[in-house]
This record gives sequence, C-alpha cells and structure tokens, in this order.
Amino acid sequence: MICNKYDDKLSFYVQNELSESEQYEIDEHLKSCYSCRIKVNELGTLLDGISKIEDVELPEDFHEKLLSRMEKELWTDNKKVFPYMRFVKYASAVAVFALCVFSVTHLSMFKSKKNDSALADNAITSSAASSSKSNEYGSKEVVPGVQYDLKIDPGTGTGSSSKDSTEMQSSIAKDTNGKSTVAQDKYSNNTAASDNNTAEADSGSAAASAFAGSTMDKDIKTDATVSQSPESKQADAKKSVLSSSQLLQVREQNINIQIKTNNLEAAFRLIDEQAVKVNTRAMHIAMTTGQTTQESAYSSMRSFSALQSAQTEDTVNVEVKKEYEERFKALLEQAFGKDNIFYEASEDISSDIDKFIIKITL
Amino acid sequence: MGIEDQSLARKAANGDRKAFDQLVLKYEKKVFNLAYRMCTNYDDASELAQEAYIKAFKSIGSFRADSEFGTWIYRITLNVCYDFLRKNKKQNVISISEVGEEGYIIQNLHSHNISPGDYAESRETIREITNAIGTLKEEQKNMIILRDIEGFTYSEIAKILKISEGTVKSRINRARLSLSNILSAKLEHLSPRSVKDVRKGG
Repeated sequence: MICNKYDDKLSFYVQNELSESEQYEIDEHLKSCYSCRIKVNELGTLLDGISKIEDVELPEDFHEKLLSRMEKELWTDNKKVFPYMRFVKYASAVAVFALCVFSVTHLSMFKSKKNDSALADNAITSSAASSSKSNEYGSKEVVPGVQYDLKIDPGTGTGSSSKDSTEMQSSIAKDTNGKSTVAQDKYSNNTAASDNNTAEADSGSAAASAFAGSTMDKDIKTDATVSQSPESKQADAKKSVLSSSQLLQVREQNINIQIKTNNLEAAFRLIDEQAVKVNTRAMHIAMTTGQTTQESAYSSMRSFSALQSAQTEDTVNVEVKKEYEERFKALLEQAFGKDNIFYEASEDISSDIDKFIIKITL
Repeated sequence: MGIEDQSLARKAANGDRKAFDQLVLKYEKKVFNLAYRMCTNYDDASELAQEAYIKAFKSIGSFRADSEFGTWIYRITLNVCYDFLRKNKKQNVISISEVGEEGYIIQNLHSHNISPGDYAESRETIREITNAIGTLKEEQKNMIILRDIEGFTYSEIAKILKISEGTVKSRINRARLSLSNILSAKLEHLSPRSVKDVRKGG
C-alpha cells in the first residue's frame, strides 16, 4: 500500500530540518510504514548523490573576457548609458505599454459589452468603437475573437467589468487629483506658451486618444489639418491629465494581462500600430512641452504625472500561448528595449498556455 | 556584506570601475555555476554569465538600496538563462560530459583520495541524477539547482524568485519527490541505504 501521509515533509525529514517533535512523529510512523521507509531511503540516496555535485571552476579566461566585454559595451563612449537617457527611454516605454494595455482593455470592454446600452454614452467606449471601425487591419472583424482580461492586483477590481472599470476611473480621478493638478498646470502653461503650435495640441490629446483605444489614424489627420479652439484644447488637456492619472494608477499596480485567444496575431498588429504611434507621441510630448534639449525633455517627462512616481522595476505577468511567444517578445523588446526586459520561467511549460513573467527594469 | 555591496553598487552606478570589478569578482563563480547548471554547457554558461553581468551593469541604476546585490545578480542570471533556454529549447538536455564537470570530479577524486571504484560509482550516480534533473519540469529543476546543487538558503531562493519561503519549501519538496520517483529503480540499485544512514546526523 502506498502511503502519502508525510509526503510534504519527508525530504525535510531526511535533511533533519523538521522540529524535534515532527522528526519523532515520522520516526514512529516509519516503524510501521514500509512505503514511507522506501521513500525516505530513496530521498536520502538522492540527496546524498546531489551533495556530491560540486561547483565547476570558472573558465580561465572568464574574467578577462567579461572585463573586455564590459569595456566594449559599457565604457565605450558612444554606447555608455546615461542615466537620464535611460529614464526617457524607460518612461516612454512605460507610457507606450500602459497605453497599449488600456487600449486593449477598452477594446475588450467594447467587445464584451457592445450590446449594453448603458455603455453607449461612455465616451471612451464610443471611441474604442470608432477605432475598431477605422482600423486598417480590420480589427472589428478580428477583435471579437480575442479575449483580454486586465486584472489589477487585489483591491482594485478588474478591468473586464465595465462597472468596475467605470468605478476605477472615477476613483483614479479622485485619488490622483493632487498630482494631476501639477501636470495640468504645466501642460496649460506650455499650451499657452506655444499657442500656435498645432503639433503640441496634437501631442496633448495623444495620451487621451490612445488611452481611449483610438488607432490614431483619424487623430493624426485631424490634428494636422484643423486648428483647435482654445476650449477644445483645454478639454484635450483635461483628457490628457485624466489619462495620465489613470496611467499613474496603472503604474502603481502590478498588471496582470491574461491573453487567451486563438487569434492573437490580429491583436499584435493592432498593438504594433498603437505602439509605434504612441511611442512617437510620448516622446513628442516630452520634447514639445519642454525645450528641445534632452535635459528639459527629461524634466517634462518627469512632470508628466503618469511617470512622476515611477518605480525602478515593474513586474508584468503575461500569459500567452507558446506559438505567439516569440512574436510577443519581439514586440515587447521593440517597445521597451531588449535590455529592459527579463523573462522568467513559465509556471507550467507542459500546458498549452505558456506563462512567463516579464520584468521591466530601468 | 549587504551594506558593502550596496556601497559598491552605488559607486558602480556612478561609473566607478573598481567597484564594478569588485562586484564581478565577488559573484562571478556563483553566477557562472548557476548558469552552468541551468544550461549544462560550459561554453554557453560562460557566455550567459557574462551576459548577466552586462545586463546587470547596464541597469545598475535600478538596483534598489533595500535589495541585495547577490540576489539581484542571481535573478538576472536566471532570467538570462531562461531566455537562452527558450530560444534554444535545451531544457531537457543535460550532460555531465563537459570539461568542467569532468574537471571537478577528477579534482574531487584526488583531493578526497577516492578509490577508482568509488569514483566510478560516484560518477555514475551523478550522471543518473543529472540526467533525471534534466527531465524535470522547469520549475522543479530550478528548485533542485538552487537549493540542492547551488546551496542557496530558502530565504535566498524566495528573494531570487520573488516568492514566499513557504512556496519555496513546498516546491522543493515536490521537486525532490518527483526526482526520487524518476530515479526510484535506479536509486535502489545505486546505493541502497538504511533510514538511519540517510538522515544527516542520524
């Protein structure tokens, strides 16, 4: 008869890591349990064998090779990584990702609630709807086959419910009011300073547009050819602040995106489109709200409230099917920079859903 | 030790090459061994360990004051290895016929005055075990490598993998039982022992 009574403790028993009473309890059990005695014997032999595996010596030239690589990749002037440049790169990457995540989420919301009349009045969802229609890849046809769930860690609910999402947005606006004000003031000043700069108005609305799930094609044409009224600029600025506040909220959470779909390729194309454009615009915001130097762009990025309290490391859990893994990683590496992403082991590589954790580090 | 590392990391972040060098020297053997156990190839391990250091130093600015440099560099090493293994699909290939492994066994043989018979047995045991480790699921393989081969404490593993100590322990126990099951028939043949013998200090 096979006994599993102490399976959760046997290897610790063998290593003498249990309390005295637990060790004694198992000692007593072993007297009458042949099955566990066999297991203990095998575990003991196994651990004894493993203990004979010792460290291997470093290759003789390891240290020299490493120093030489460091010299080449870290110290060479043209490749030296300047801290503030890293921040700008990182900040824009975070903005891109957050925007993409929200775009995807709202598309999902649209999909799951497209027949819900209560949502018809929701500007964000309406925008998502129009984006689906205008997407050149025909996202309206393919997105319904894609299911996305945005989960924000305990305490904030999930983005998959329109009710929760609406509540979350309300609370975000309230919670981050203080921070938003700073950004809005800065933004307003900048808007006033270059009132004739339509490009800036364009960048001001970028976050809100992208956030709302727009594919941006329409926005680019409109912003490039039509001057906006002061009221609309103000409204755009306000939208931008709201968006950035929401981004901030997202940045403060660990975001779990669970993508379970058979048609991810279409979603990738959609995100690709967003990523390229949003990235350009995120940098554009940085450059146009400040001066044209890198330092002031950096400063502007900092004042962009979404990034104001940026942490140095974020963990994003992505669950994606194996067949899309390489594509997904390539996309992320393009958006975040290869060196800013680390991949962790999947929880269970035997399942068809391959999970891996992506860590974005500065 | 932790404070010293943090100070070195801060200096390194400010471009102090000596600080870089000290951090490299301090952890390179462990980093290399971890990479070697993960990828099981001596040359690949060398490349991966270097890659881990390059990545770490490129992002040294993100090293947090409340972290331990060792934990951080090991985590980066694991991530570099995972990435490599995924790309090369070498998870289930394990071999001890590498120069390094042979080297250490021979070294061990001399330094411990092991008889040729025992050496053969030892080598065979290790071969069987390492082959079996290679067939484990990734998560379980990592646990055996980190705890039983590389000797990290439960607390260190928890920090490296960013999971709780309780989870670490239960995963390690499961991994050992799985490994034991895989080797069940062979273990008996390799080295049958009594319960008393196998208990450390028992």
